[in-house]
Amino acid sequence: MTLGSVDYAILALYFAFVLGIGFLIRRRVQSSEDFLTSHRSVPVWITSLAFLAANLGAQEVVGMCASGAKYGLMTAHFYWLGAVPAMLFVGVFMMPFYYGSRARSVPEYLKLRFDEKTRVLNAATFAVMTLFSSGVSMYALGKLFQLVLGWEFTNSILLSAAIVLIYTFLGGLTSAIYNEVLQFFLIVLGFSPLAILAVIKCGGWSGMAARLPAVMLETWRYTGSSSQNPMGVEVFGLVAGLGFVLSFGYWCTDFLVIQRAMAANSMSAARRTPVLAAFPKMVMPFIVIVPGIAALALSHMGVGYSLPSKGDGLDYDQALTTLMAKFYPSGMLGVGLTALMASFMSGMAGNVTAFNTVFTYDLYQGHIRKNAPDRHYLWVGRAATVGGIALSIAAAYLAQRYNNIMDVLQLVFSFVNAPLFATFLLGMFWKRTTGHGAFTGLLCGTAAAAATHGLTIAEGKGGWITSVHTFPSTMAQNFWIAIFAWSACFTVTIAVSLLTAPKPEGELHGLVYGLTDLPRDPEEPWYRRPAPLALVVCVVLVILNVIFW
Amino acid sequence: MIDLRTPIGVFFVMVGLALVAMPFERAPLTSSMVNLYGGLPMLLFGGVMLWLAWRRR
Repeated sequence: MTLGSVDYAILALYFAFVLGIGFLIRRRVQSSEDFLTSHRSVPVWITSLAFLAANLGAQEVVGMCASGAKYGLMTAHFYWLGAVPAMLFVGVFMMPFYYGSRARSVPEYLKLRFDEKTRVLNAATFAVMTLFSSGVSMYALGKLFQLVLGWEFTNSILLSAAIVLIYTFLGGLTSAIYNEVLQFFLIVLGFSPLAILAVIKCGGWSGMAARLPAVMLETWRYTGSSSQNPMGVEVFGLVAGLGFVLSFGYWCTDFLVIQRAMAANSMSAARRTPVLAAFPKMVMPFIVIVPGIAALALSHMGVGYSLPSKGDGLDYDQALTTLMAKFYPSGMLGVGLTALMASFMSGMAGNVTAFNTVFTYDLYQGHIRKNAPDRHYLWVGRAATVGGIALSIAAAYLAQRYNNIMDVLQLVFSFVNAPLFATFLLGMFWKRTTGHGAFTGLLCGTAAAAATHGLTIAEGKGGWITSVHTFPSTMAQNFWIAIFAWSACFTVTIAVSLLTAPKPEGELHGLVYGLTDLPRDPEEPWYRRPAPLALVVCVVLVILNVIFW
Repeated sequence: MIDLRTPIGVFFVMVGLALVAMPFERAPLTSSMVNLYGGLPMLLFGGVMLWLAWRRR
């Protein structure tokens, strides 16, 4: 793929704008709260799009297109089942506790609700995970640009890391959020034409259907048995593993996304943030998954396009970039590559801004220096931004050196994230839950996840203890690991809580359902209230699932 | 606080203009004027953003 001067000009223009936004916002950053939490001042339309864009990393865009080519429209379950219901839940039911508790981070909520040890456990694992996640994303982008454009790996990651560093260092969370919105629109406007062009080339939806097995264009019809679909998952594993544990574990507890909603300028706006984000989230499969499906159909048509090979199979990861090379002329090619760069940068900035907040408030202020002047914490927040990006770069090189590190990290994420939702569910909705219960439950949930992985095998992975079961795919294995981890955490938390003394009810106001005055806004029109908006999303979601059953 | 719609609007108007200005560039697998059809929505979107920002003032 060769870029023209106009493509480089578009890329340079984009860099100029993201840096410009950072410089403009710099002037209003006076305190650590301005830098790390945006001082809860961001309008809802911006927090909603940032909530979505923080999750739209390069791996998400490239990976979902690849999954579209590999698994077909079933990949849409990662959106319609594995994201939207959890987004509605966090907006309608959980945000009153996050926002109303005045906690500045998710670990800080755990401290208020439970105790310091639960907070530190969550803060430390989250900080490490965000850094590795950012580094692995950086590695993926460096490899992609090396492969597609012939750019040096080091140059690609240093250039993008430097730009993210400048705008997050200057403007903090507000700058990251504002740029995420620009990045979101760029991703949508940059990739939508590709989906349209590829589907038209296939002869429309019916043309794709004629060239692909029926399972590639359905979402639910072939989930009765794991052997019927390319994902190798059956309906229970899909709904309980992806639709419940993994999705709620991520969207309802991961500070990376929750931070965007907590930056909103009112409780009402914070609650509407994930609900409004659910609208574009429902449409994203048509922008990032459908091109992958079309790529597979085009490969069967003999029109001059084929998915690249890798070993004995196909290199699905190149579906998006090869389609761009075939359908985008110079100009739109620059927009598409800039959108790819934007998706990486939004993912990285999201990780870094979540990391610097958790590091500054939950680790540094909580344990290293408690009562320093605010100016000092502002300085620490900025230093954590620099340190976070430096460590992300180191993680990218680590990933380059050890090819399987990405698999290991994905696994560790599922070990940690899956049980966390059980902790929050019990903590927010059962006042009897104790700190000892939460802490023990989290550890046991993670141990259960590791044990399930050690006792089962899928595609040659796992079984490092012994093999008692073989899954048809690693995806099925991951879903079941999450189910066991969540169940273990849920059960152990209840058992230990019943054996230990709970916090007095007076200390739980604003933190637990039943002891908190939930916000009611009957004066607001329906379209400004989270519950009616969530109902509209549910209706659209049902319609989409029925159409693509 | 800056009105984010202004920089977003300016950015997409500039990118849209750049694309619309070179409509006849061709890609290997399509004869469509991709830059024109991709640039016009960007131009329109950028214009709407700028209009919304201007109206707020």
